[in-house]
Amino acid sequence: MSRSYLKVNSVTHAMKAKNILSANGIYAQVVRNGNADKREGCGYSVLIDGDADRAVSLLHANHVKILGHGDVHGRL
Amino acid sequence: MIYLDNSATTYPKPQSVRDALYQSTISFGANPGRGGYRMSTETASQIYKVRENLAEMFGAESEENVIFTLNCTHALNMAIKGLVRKGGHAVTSCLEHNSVMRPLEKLSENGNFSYDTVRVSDDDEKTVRNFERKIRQNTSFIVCTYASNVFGDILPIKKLGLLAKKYKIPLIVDAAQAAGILDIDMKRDNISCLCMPGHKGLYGPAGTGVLLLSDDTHLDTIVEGGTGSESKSLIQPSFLPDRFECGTQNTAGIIALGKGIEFLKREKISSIHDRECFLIESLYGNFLKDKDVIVYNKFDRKKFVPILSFNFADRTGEETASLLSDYGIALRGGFHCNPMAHEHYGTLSTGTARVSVSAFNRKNDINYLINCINKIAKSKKV
Repeated sequence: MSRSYLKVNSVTHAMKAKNILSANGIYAQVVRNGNADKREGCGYSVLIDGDADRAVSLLHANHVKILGHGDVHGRL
Repeated sequence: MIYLDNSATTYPKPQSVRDALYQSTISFGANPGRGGYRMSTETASQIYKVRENLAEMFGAESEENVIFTLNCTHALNMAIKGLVRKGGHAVTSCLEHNSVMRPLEKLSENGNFSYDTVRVSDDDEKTVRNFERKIRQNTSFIVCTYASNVFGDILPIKKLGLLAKKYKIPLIVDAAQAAGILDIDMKRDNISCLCMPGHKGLYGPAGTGVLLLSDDTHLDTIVEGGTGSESKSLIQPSFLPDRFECGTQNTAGIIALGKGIEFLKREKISSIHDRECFLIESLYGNFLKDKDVIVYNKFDRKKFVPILSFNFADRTGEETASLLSDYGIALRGGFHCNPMAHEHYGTLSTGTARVSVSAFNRKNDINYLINCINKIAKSKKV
């Protein structure tokens, strides 16, 4: 199964995203951004199993801003 | 000791709050929002749960709209100073605590900001009309207490919220004596900034407070610093809650505050309110029969939170509090950081002694207080 990162603004947004995704059957884990963003610096992502597009849609519908997403091997 | 100073801070705290304060320094001792290791993310998760509970309890639009502060004064300063504009104006009531009055007074010092205070009536419609009369073209916000910390008067916040909405100006509410005691819903009541301490009616520890913001309220910051987000930028983040939470928070305090919220949910705010009002009603009923005691309003649980200020004719509030302390009764005497309320009620020369109860007070406490008051009344001042 593929794994993806969904990058968010802060740890609070990451917690919110995790709760929303978990409630919709998507396993999610809060992680630090492995590659410190060149522009912004430190940050958090949620690491998920499965369909990133569905996860992004769910989070948008719940007003969680996604700064970017990619697969585990890609760079955000 | 019989503790009757819960308007200053509630005591004792529920066991779960005390346990959480201790346990969180062991299990959740990392800085949330800084690290990626387990203890940091688990601490962040604990903090987030408290945001969820507060957002639900007070009708905030989202968990991010819950900002943790040091106390209610800190929250009020953030709200007031965050909304102030050069040449602006505020409308406030005649019952405000210094945590509202002193920021307003400071802001008005340079002549670039002004404010008007409004007389509060026991007729809510009249109070609202008094507020409306003071609104001007340049009014930036209305700021007022939900309930007086000295005499307990409940202001018509729902009606004031509608008034603020009518004029499209924010309403800042000081809920120091109402949070955890009365039913407050910021969306329903059109409150833009809801400020509260964690350590009074929410039964959390000292060093905690909350500012809840509506989605359409945009405050300037008064403190900037590290947030653990957008760290490469020298500009304070624009998104909530980070915009207003910089530096390390009182993590253990917030987690313990969460247990205070759970305590309220278990005990039910309305049940605690019923019990507290019953105690104040019984005290008030006794005061009415005692010719040596002066009370300043007719306690009615629909119009007052369960606080009762009183005096002896021949003593100041401080003197009464000091005498009661000799009997092991802890309550506050004096001016309660609120000269405005004392001026309104005509007690500016004496102050008052104030009784304020909590979920942990019982009828025996009030009975003992009454006995002590009778003894003091009999021993005339030398």
